[in-house]
Amino acid sequence: MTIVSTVDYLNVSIHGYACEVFVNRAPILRTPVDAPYTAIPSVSEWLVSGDNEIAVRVDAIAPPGAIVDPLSPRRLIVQRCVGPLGEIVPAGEDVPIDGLTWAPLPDDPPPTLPLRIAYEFRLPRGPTWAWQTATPMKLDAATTAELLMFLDALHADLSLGDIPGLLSRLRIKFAELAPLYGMTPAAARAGLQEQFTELAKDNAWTVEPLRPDDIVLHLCCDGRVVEPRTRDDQPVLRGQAADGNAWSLPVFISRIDGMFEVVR
Amino acid sequence: MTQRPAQRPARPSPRKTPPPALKSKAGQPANKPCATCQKQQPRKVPPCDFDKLEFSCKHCGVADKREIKSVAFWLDMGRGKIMTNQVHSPNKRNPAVTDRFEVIEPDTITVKASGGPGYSPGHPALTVQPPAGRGEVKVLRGPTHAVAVSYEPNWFKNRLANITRIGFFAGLRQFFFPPPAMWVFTMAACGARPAPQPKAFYSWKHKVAVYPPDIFKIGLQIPSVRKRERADSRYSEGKVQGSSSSSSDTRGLARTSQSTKEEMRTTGNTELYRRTESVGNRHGTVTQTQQLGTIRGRDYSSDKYEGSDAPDGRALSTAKSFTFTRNGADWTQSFKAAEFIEFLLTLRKQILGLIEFFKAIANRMPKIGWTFSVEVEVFAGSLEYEWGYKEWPKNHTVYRYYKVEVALTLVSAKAEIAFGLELLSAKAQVYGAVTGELKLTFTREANPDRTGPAATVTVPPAVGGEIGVRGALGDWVEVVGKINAGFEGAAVMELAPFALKANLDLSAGKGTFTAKSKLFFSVTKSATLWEKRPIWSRTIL
Ligand SMILES: [Zn+2]
Ligand SMILES: [Zn+2]
Ligand SMILES: [Zn+2]
Repeated sequence: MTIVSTVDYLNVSIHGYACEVFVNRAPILRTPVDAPYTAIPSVSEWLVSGDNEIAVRVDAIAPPGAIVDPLSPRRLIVQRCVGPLGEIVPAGEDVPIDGLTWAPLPDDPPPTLPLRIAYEFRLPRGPTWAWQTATPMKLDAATTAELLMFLDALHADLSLGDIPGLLSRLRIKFAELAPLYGMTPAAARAGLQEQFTELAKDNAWTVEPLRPDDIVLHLCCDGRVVEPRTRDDQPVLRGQAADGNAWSLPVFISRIDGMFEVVR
Repeated sequence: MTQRPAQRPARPSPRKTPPPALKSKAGQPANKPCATCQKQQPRKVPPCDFDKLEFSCKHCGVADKREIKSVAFWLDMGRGKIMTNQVHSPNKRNPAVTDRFEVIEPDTITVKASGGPGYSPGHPALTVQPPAGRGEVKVLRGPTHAVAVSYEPNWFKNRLANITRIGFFAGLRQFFFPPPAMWVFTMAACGARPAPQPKAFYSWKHKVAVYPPDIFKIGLQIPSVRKRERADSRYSEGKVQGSSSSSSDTRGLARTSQSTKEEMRTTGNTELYRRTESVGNRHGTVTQTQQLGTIRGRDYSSDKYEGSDAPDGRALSTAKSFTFTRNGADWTQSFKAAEFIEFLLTLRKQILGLIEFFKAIANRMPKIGWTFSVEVEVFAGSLEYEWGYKEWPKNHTVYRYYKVEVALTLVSAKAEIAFGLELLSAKAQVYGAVTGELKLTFTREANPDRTGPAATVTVPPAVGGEIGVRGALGDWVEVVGKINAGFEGAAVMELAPFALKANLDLSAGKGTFTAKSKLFFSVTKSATLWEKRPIWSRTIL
């Protein structure tokens, strides 16, 4: 078993801006314009050797005067941090390595939207991820049809509760991510099967139907990765589980050696 | 002038028999035939009745006092009814006052009977029944009388003497619009009229409600005092090693005399800190003893407040937090202000008790350190409320005059929290700050032409803050929308009579959370981080 003690994560704190945050052009999260957003997503699997980029695309700005509470101020802060895997870093105790902050002055003219803010940083040599060398895609009719067929296959595995079938399409993801998050791929696969058994007990497992007209394919990482989301930015693979909870399985897909694979 | 039948309200019917007429020179009752006549002819009563009755006070028809000249009742022979010219408030919420004439002490009520076929000797007669315990019923002979009416003698001093027994709040409430003294006036004649007249006025009972003339004023001038309580704990993983500490500080100038005693004892794993703080003004002192103790990691904190009267006025300084005046004269020293200060401290303590509430949640997850800070300010600002009864110029009623100027923060609370809990089967940290402020800022004066007696101002709290949640590094937690947390409640001020009520609760901390898994299914769930917690709810005055 690989012993991993630290993980790279972003300390995101945004209020007053509808944004999408990217690491090396992979979408990590989106924020609402009308509510404060704080989160600490780990991003090790999107970082690469050498040059890296963290970017924020601002799509909407809350009007002046909409945010007046000094305890919940307007802000746009994304910091890159490293912390101990599996531990809670108390809020305010993150140690940022670098990051970006955007704080326009009240008198500044409103920017043209969408606004892109980004910075770069260098990292020492590390693993090369499958998505980095995946075949770039164009979302033409043929590729789109093929992607929908692939999604349909994932959907069928989930509908049938065929977790081994599902795992066969998540091979690269499990191989690359399990060691990053302190597990062997085998232990991670067993863990997924166990979680499914729990979520699906009492026949509570349901899967939302795939609706091609509600699927938006987001091409990212210079065309090497695609993330399907619904029009309102939910994962397309989702449903209801036991205890009334909702489950979802966000997927990032690449074409590796001619075949579609879930890489994240 | 409106003319409409007088509505006889439900009440004991007037005495049907008027006071007996005076004896004639013949030695017989003038309204009773002699025994011979009774035998010889049908009963014949001499005419004795009036057409019209008028009630007025000494302010009626006086410029800038009462616009009405009188309240009249008269017999409309055509309709066979008693008519009246009573004017009623245009405000539909004010019930029409039909059975009484209302005045402010001292006043003189003039009752005048006129018209009619004439009277038997000594008729008509006015019976004046003073309020209970205020002397004998008097019978006044003749058609016109001026009667001095009064409120309860020494009412103010009598009630002032109650304060020691009933306390500050009930003591003060006695002076908020006390009920009137009721006098009952009955004008009566025989009601005998010449043959063709089918209807008689006969007798009329009308009440006179007498109200005290006093104009009172209370004032609160309370400088800002913010009190802050902190508590935090740090635990290292593995073999649990705990420590906790608390501190408090008070800022502001409300205190006019103060002594603080601190005591710290440490023996092995026991730590005890005791701090005694005395706060006083010229009316009394309040001693707060705060004990912060940890014994083997357990918390034994306590807070105790005691009030006491000031030994004398000189010992403590002159700052006034509460004033009470009657007709411009200061009667503040009749109130035990210590009781009021004690109330404020109790209120403050209840809010600072939020620390205990969060600590109890946090102690279920002892491996995640917690830190809390609760800052509170109660009753800062000023309030001036003036009140009393006044005769309404447009009719025969008295209204509740008031004038209020308020810029008062009833409570301002801020809780900064950070603690661990279990969320979506994983440990997580909840952190952030919430604020709530109940503040009343307005000026208002009674307007009897428009505003009803139930003038009420309700203000919701101004709330702010933000709560976040984070999980352990690796999988991460995303909040769907936002976490609903904060304070809720209302401040309600009623103006006639004065009442101030407020309640403040810590809202339930609720949200919808997605545990975003790196390798497994992500799960979305609505969760309650903490339940709603009532902090205080009471009628303050
Ligand atoms: Zn006779
Ligand atoms: Zn009068
Ligand atoms: Zn008579």
